[in-house]
Amino acid sequence: MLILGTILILVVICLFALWLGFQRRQEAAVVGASGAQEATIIVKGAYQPNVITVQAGKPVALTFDRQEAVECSRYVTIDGLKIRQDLPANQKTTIRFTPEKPGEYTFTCDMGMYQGRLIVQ
Amino acid sequence: MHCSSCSQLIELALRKTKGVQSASVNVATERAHVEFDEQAVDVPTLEAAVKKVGYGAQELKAGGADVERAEREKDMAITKQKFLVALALSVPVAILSMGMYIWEGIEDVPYRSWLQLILTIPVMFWCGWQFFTGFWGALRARTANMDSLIAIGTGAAFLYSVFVTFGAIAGELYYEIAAILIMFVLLGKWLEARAKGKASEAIRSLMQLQAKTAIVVRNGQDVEIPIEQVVAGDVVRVKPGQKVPVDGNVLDGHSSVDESMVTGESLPVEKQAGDAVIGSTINGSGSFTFTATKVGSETLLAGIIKLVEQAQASKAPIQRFADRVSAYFVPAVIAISLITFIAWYFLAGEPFVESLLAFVAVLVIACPCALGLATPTAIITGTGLGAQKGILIKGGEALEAARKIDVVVFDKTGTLTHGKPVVTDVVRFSGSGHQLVGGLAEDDILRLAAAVEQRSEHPLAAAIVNGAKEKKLTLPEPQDFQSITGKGVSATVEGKKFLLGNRALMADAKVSLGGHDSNVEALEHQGKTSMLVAVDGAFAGIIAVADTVKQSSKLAVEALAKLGIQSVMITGDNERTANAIAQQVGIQEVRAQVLPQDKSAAVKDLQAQGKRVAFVGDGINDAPALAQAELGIAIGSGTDVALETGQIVLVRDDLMDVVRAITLARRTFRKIVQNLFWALFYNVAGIPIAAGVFAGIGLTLRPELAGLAMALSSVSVVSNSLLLKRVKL
Repeated sequence: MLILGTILILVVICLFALWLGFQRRQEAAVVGASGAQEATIIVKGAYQPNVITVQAGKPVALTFDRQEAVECSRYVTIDGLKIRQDLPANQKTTIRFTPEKPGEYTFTCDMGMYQGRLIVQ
Repeated sequence: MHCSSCSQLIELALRKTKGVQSASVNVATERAHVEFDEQAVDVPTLEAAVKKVGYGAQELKAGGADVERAEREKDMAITKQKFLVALALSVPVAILSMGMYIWEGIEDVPYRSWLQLILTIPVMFWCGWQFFTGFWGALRARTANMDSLIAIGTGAAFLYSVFVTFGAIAGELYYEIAAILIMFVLLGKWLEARAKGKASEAIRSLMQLQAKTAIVVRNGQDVEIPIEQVVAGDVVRVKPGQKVPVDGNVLDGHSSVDESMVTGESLPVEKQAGDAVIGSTINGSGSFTFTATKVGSETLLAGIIKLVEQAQASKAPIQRFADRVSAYFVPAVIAISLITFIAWYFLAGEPFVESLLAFVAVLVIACPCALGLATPTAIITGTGLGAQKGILIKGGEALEAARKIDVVVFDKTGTLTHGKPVVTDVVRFSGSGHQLVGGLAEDDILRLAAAVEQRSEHPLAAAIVNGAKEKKLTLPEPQDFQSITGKGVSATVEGKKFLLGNRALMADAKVSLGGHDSNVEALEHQGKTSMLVAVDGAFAGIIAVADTVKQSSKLAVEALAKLGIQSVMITGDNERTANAIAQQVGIQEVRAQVLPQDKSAAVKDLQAQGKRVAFVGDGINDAPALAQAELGIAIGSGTDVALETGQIVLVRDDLMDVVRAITLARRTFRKIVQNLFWALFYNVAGIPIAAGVFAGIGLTLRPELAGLAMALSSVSVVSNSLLLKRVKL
């Protein structure tokens, strides 16, 4: 029992470490018909994908497809770009902006439970 | 639109458009109500149809605040309903499960376990369904969130009980844990949503200030039109008690206007021809017309709303730490809960049920929400409160900067002083060997000097002319006006030869000051500029002109000193003038003769001494200094305020607002720190207790109580932020 317990604890720790490595999910934005760099993020329990890569100095159109109604994910805040957007439940909301400075900007829900990163190159 | 035939024409045009089901146009309100098939036609097409028949149309957007509020209220109503249903069902579950401690007969209730199952199912899968969908969404994104914790926790208790009910395993039932947990979490969510609604009330009330209609004068007639149709240049009429619809300048009439909602100024402000009026302020008992200068998104109120929205979208640097913790929090808690179970069951050899309860308790006590809510709720409450008082804090960084400030540098002209020279003294000389010039009184000197100066374009001339006008003196026309560059002016007024200027002008004209040099020097020592007056070749008097200190300057410097903040004055003036002003306001350290472009270097200099500097200026010509300082505070007056510069903008021309802004920023920041501390402390203390680390000393926690603690922890963080509203500024 003691050995089994120890092994199981080690398994849990390994799984946690594996999760840390696998949680990053990147997707570069694609230039769409409007000429802007476009990406769609599904908001359902998390942001999916949660890493978006765009080019600096070019317009970006991020569409948040909120497929739930829980209060938590109602607002998305892009830190450093002064954007806080109300995302109506079960609707797509597009945020348009042009990031000037390269760098990493995190976007989160109001409570920081849903997190994503916008990488501006 | 002029008449009902116009409205009929537009109605017809709209109805003919493909996809339109019905259209009605109201000529009085100039609004069209159109029902159409969104698949077949869109709003621009409808606008084009109206344009084609010779009119204009634009979509009337519902106020963002109203929509938001309606949605929030709807959400809250649903959560409340789910909570009440969960409460109604979980109480009988709890009685069936634990009632035997009060009445033993409960054990004999037939089908007791099945009854509990049937009562718990709607709580789990209707009231608490959102937690399972959230869990599933996160799982698909290969992550975990708050819902994961609740779903796994309640799911484990529920599934275990189902197995017992169906006889798959022997043991006790724990339906009440699942049901009560969901009830508590919903209660927490409902209370939290209510408190969050209160926190964002400020911006909503700003948005609701906006007038809906305006009376404009068109073709000599008053027409009431929707506010969206007012354009710059329109002449707008404001009747007693009405709202000023947009920004503009008074054309005719006078009244007093309550501007408190926009600038925070508590006393009504007198308005007459030429004065600026601010949209959304409330007119008093007078009536006036004004020319609209800024409409729609350009008005001061619209600028303020945008600024507050942006501030609320910003994060304090300290929040980034909380975000980093949150990112790993939930998976870490799931790992800890698994380890807890394994440790109790496999290592300590405890029964399965006890180990499972500890596992559930760890899952449900962990509350990353409190951590996440710590900063935004404080920022939203603090910036909202500031906006209502005319103090616009642009975001989290300003809050952190304000905490550390130890020096406030004030720009002199226009900040500590009014920035406009005014006549402060009129001195008349007679006797002491000089004849009293034609029996001139002080008012005569001012009147004649103003008569001469009305031809001059020198800034000091305007001060003298305004001084005479304030005393309602009638100015005669001057003859033979001459401007002597760098010295002064001369003219003949009412038959007298008049000279007005500096000492050099008097020396040239061989006018002796006759021992009055000391009077001139005394005035100059007070930081005033002396204009010497000679009439018919004899020295007649002095008119002193100076930029005067604002009433609030001295109070602000004193209040800052009480906060432990040193005040420094910076100015382009010479040392004598600078020191005179500094003395009046109680400032010890003065930097004089600093050119506008060197102000930021002066700030840098202070920073090099290890000081953390706030710079207070009008934001127009001192933008580099505002940017260089750790905290830039731009101060304005009503519509002239430079909203884009500085990290804090003061709408009202009151230097006490500098003190209020710093106090508010510090208090808000303190709230953030308190919230973060309690949220962290709660989790750090709560998780080990739930895991049974202190079981040895008898300290354990039932999962239901762990869930209640979790629900209350986020409510307490939001409530703590709301206490900011009580800060007296």
